[in-house]
Formats: sequence, structure tokens, C-alpha cells
Amino acid sequence: MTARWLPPHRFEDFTVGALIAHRQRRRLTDADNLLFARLSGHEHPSLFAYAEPASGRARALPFLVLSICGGMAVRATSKHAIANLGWTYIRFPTPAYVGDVLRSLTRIEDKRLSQTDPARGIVTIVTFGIREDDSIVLEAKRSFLIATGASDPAGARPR
Amino acid sequence: MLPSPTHVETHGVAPAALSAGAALPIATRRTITDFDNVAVSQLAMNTHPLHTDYLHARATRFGRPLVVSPFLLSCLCALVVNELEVAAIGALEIRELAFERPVHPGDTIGAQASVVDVHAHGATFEVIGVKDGGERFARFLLALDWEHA
Repeated sequence: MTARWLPPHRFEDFTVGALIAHRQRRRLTDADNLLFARLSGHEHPSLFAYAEPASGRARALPFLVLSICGGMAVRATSKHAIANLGWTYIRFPTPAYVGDVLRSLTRIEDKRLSQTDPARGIVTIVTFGIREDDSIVLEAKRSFLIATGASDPAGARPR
Repeated sequence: MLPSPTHVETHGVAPAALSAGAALPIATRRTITDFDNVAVSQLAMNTHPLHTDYLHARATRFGRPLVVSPFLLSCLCALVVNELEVAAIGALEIRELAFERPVHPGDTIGAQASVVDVHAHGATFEVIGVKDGGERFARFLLALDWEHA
């Protein structure tokens, strides 16, 4: 039995241990790969322009994989965050290629109230990026700051 | 008839020249524009309104839009990797990435990198992101595996 995950608006809405299957899917195109790489300023051809001899397809820029898989997770996790604090780690266990269709899963790893401001909390999540063959192309652990219900009663999730 | 080149352009620091503790010289800076930020946020399906809804951003404690973090990371890593003379980047990993200050469209960012550890097929760099001439906004470790040029 899989439960529904409603979009969280504040600290209290997060359930530690939940593993959320995000709804979005995204096919990586050559346009995505080249545009993102060049807007970021990448000049090294192996990061975005050379085809992988084994597959004949270009390897996707790892930062594009992070952006898209993380981006697909925002609606169900950090959309109402006050600020992004950072990542403990960002790993790319297997490469993604142009043409792959990616999806994301997020585990709610931990949450605690801020020590300096108890009206805010820190939520830690691990987001996985997954290809159609179920191989993992991204594992990224990040934390963000979000208001508690006490600080922001008007910001509560509609029930 | 096509003339034969007498020189081949080289760029960047060869792996053999890297040593633990040494700084990697990075002269390039870049300004992040509103277009960059909105384009990459939409391209990446990121729905956080701080990046794409300027009215919302104005009402937050930041007062204006923030540049989306994975793109900033990509820009900083580009500034570092562009200075390395390696044939191919095999794998990379980011550790201990902290965003310490906000970056807004219009800010000019640069990177400072130093070698933490170097081995036959890769190295780990400590990378500091700075904006507007010196204010530090991010810090992380970048571990790279490569093939030699």
C-alpha cells in the first residue's frame, strides 16, 4: 500500500522515513545538455560534447542530472523552504546519457528544529535520480530551512 | 592545400604539475544574468518561486530572486575544470557543499581552488565560491577522476 504524499508547506508536514516517488519524468535531450553546459561555462568537451564510444550517445552533464532530478523533487519537498543550506554529498553512481528518461525518488532522512530560531526547522533529504532500467544516476543528500507552523500559521498546508 | 600547424593551443594545468596544498590559478569570472537563472530553473523543472517569481522573491527576507543552487555549483565546477589540461573527466563527486550567502542575478562570481589530494588518476580540490570581488558564498570539495591529456 502506497500512501499519498501531500505537498509540504512547513516543518511539521515532513515525515521522517518517507520515501516519495515523484510524479515528473524527464527525457534528456542534446539541447538540454548543450544549453545547460554552455550556460554554466563548461569548456571541457568530455563533460558535454563527446559521444561515448560504447553507446554512441553523449554522456549527460552531471550537473544537469543533479538539476533535473533535484528540480523534479522540489514540488514535494523544498518548494516552501526559506533557504537551501547545502549538500552533504552529491554522487553520480552511473552515468546518464542523452535520450535517457529520468525520474526521482526522495527519502526524508531527518528533521530538527533550528538551535538559533525554534520557529524554523532543518529538513534533510536524500534524492535519487533513476533511469528507465532502474540504475541510479544521482544520489544527493541536502538540507534546507523551513518555517514551523508556530512561526507561520498562515502558511499551513490546506487540509 | 591545407597548411600544417606549427603550434597546438594548450590551456590549463597538467595533472603532473598539481601538488597538495597548491592553488589552481583561476582568472575567469562570470556574471549570472536573470536569463541564466530563469532559463536553467525552467529547464530543470525547478518550481521554487524564489528563482522564477520576482513578486514572491521581493516579499521574502532576500528581497530579490536567488540564483538556483545546482546551477551555481555547475558554474563553479566549470571555472575549476576549465583550468585543467586533462583528456577526459571520468567521474566526479561533490562533498560538504555549503551555501553560506545568497547569490542574486547580476552578481559576478569567481572561484578559488586548492589541491587537497592528488593521485595518478585524479585529485580532490577545495573550492571556494566568491562574488563581487571577494565575498565568499559557497565552499565544497570536488573529487575528480580523469584520463591524462
